[in-house]
Amino acid sequence: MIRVSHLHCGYPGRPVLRDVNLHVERGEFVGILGPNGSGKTTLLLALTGYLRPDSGTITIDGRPLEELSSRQRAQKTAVVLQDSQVRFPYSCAEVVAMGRYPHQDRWRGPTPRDAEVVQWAMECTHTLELADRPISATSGGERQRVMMAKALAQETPILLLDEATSAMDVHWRLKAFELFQQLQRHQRKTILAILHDVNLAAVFCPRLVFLKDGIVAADGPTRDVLTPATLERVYHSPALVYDVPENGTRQVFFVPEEQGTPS
Amino acid sequence: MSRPRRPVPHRLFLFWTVVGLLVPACALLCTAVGPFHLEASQVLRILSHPYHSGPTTEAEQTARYIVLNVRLARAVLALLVGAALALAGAVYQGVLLNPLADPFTLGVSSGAAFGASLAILGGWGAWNLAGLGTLPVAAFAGAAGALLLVLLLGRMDGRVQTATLVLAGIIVSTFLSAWISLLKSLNEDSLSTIVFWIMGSLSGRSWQHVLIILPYLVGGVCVIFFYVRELDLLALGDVSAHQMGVDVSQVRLRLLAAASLITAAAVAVSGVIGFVGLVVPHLVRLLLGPRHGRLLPAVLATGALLTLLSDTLARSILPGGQEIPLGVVTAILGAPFFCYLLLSKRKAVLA
Repeated sequence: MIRVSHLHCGYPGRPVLRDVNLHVERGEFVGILGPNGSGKTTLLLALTGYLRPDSGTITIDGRPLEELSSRQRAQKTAVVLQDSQVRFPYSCAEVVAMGRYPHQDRWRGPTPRDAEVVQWAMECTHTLELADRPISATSGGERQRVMMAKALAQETPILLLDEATSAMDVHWRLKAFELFQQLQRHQRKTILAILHDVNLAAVFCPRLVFLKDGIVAADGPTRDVLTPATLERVYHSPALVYDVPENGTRQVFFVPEEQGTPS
Repeated sequence: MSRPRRPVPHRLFLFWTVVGLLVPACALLCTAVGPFHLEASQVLRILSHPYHSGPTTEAEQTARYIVLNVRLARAVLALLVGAALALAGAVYQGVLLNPLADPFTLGVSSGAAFGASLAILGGWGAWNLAGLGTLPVAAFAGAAGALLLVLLLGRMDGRVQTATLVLAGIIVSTFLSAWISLLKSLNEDSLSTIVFWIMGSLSGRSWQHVLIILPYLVGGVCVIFFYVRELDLLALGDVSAHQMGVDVSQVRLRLLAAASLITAAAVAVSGVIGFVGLVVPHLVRLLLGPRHGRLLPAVLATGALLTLLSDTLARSILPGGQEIPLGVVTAILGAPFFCYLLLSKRKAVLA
């Protein structure tokens, strides 16, 4: 589905990603982790085509990203960004409906199908009660749910999430990730989620990719890569890793340096 | 919580009913107002038979000339200039994502003023091109030149970014203003002509001026309404808009070019008329919401209406047929009104 080969990418005068290789199959749910400045967001911007690679290639469904028209690209991937400022007080329903743009014809108005999809996306994200509220009058967590709904309304096989739930409380964050998991399992959506919360990633993502200083530091099934060795190498913080017997997941405690790690 | 509001479709209907009645009513009223006294019934009769060419008295002929070639032309021009400036303002605010943007943000007004000043100083103002003075032509050339310079400066780093564009606009404006000051100081005789032109007025304009602005307005409106959905998506920010399939740089450039050409044409026929392009988009956005498909037609109509009313005030408020420049009227009315919007609806205006 997504294949990144020898990708070098960054900003003018500031290279960020160095020789990144990544292959993601359809229906995978991949967590992308790493310290600040490790290149997570740069990778995501490269995957949307917003940043052009300095060298290397990105293909989606076997087609190089730069060969896709912007409309085709928008029909393949939707993005939820961490912080979305909306300039004017559009109602939340209007913002979600903007997600239909890549499917709409310029000269024809919204179709009944557009309305159905918007309705569905708002139901999934529990944003129907916000429908008439101006987006400027929502809280950070509510806005992130509206942006999630917009991305769902885009009906793409690939979802890219950049800290998409950072402003949500625990309840909504879990709900959001449960929804992503359902979409992955039942609609075979491919999901790449950038996260800071290692434990959230450990619960929902069967595969983790760690980035550090612009290179892939570890990539593999969560069971294999979520180890004290990897975490220490990536975050420079001693970590304790426990298996949770009740649900078969793995959880991490980072330990402040001065307390030391028990051997 | 905000107070309960009328649902938008209802307001939309109300808005267009009111505007639909007000525009013809005001146009009629404005052609009846003026230093040359005419009965309303006479004006109505002339307007309803514009091509009447039977035997008439000399007084009747004068009345016909005043109503059709002076007042009606001027009313139509006021409607067009107002519509142009308000639409351009709405596009600038939407594209630059800046609530303080107006049609002159990218230096179009300074460019036009510079062109006009050159023409006045060079004495070319008296030349005639197809029944027109050279002044509109020079102003338009100046505006287009300034715009080109701003767009070239604004895309220096490959991407057309809003902050760079606004900065380029300020640089070009300041630079040209300095040149205008220089031109003014070089020749004191033309000082008052230049100053008066910059203040903006529709005094003495004719159907020829309507013909100058009309093609640009029609063309610009076509381009702008073509990109009406993209204008909404731009409000989500560059990354989001790009990700949803909008070619951000290209759309931004085309919208700004269209809005600026409309502004240039308006400035060429009327001089610099401030506040219409700043206030009207805010006002209409408060009434009908920010969605551009609904906003822009309403902005066109409201800008046209308010400019027509301002121009009628400008030419009738002083006794003895003396005129106030239209740009002065819009600024005197517009600034306090914008201040009121800012104070009472601060959140909505600056959202």
